Amino acid sequence: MPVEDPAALARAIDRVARGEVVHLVRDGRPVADLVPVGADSRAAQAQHAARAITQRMADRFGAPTMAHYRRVYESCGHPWPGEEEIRRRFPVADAS
Amino acid sequence: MAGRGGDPSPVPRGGCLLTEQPPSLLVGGWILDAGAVASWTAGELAIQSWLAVAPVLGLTFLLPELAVTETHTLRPHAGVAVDELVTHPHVVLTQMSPADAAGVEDLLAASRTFDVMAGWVVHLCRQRGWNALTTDPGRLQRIDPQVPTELLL
Repeated sequence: MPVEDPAALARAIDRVARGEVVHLVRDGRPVADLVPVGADSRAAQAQHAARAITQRMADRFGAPTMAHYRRVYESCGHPWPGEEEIRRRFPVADAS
Repeated sequence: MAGRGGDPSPVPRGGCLLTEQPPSLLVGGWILDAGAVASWTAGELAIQSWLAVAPVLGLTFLLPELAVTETHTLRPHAGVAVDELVTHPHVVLTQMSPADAAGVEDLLAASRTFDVMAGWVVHLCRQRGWNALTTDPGRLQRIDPQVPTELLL
């Protein structure tokens, strides 16, 4: 399987190894999930369901901006993962 | 954010636990009120962003049934969006137990108000030590001026 970005793949594998479900995205759309070995399939299904709801809402009403996500991270006292990571994980409105 | 100060719990701000553990192991969250539900049905981006990050940050949203009923009553056409929220894996719909009802009665009596939904949200905030996620903090602050809230904007 040719991989366009081996570094991104390595980061994805690291995240899966830490227990995360990693969503594979093509053209801004989720196409598959990488799930940790032995992971609770219900947890994976829940993540998938949550992501599907997020995508449907974004399709219907538009996606949140980077500022919206930054505010949530700040409100939670969680370190900002960077815009690239946010775009990888969530639908984000195009800057204009 | 108007969170309570001096809380020694490991959940430092608004119920988000700072940890590298997988989200499924986290306990922490927020209380949604009717304004938050209405905001969701209107497609507001602020509430969308909160629900989107929930699986990554391990957030739980407690949703009083009455907040859903208020929105359904006002906006019966918004049923699909309400259903999306209620079935979201990180949203827990909660019914009022007799003990909760007694607690809400006390809050309403003490504040000389009769806003059951707001009283229930304040009761849950106190009970859980969580913040309310709301578009209308004033409604909750009539019950308790010190209730910790996060404004959706």
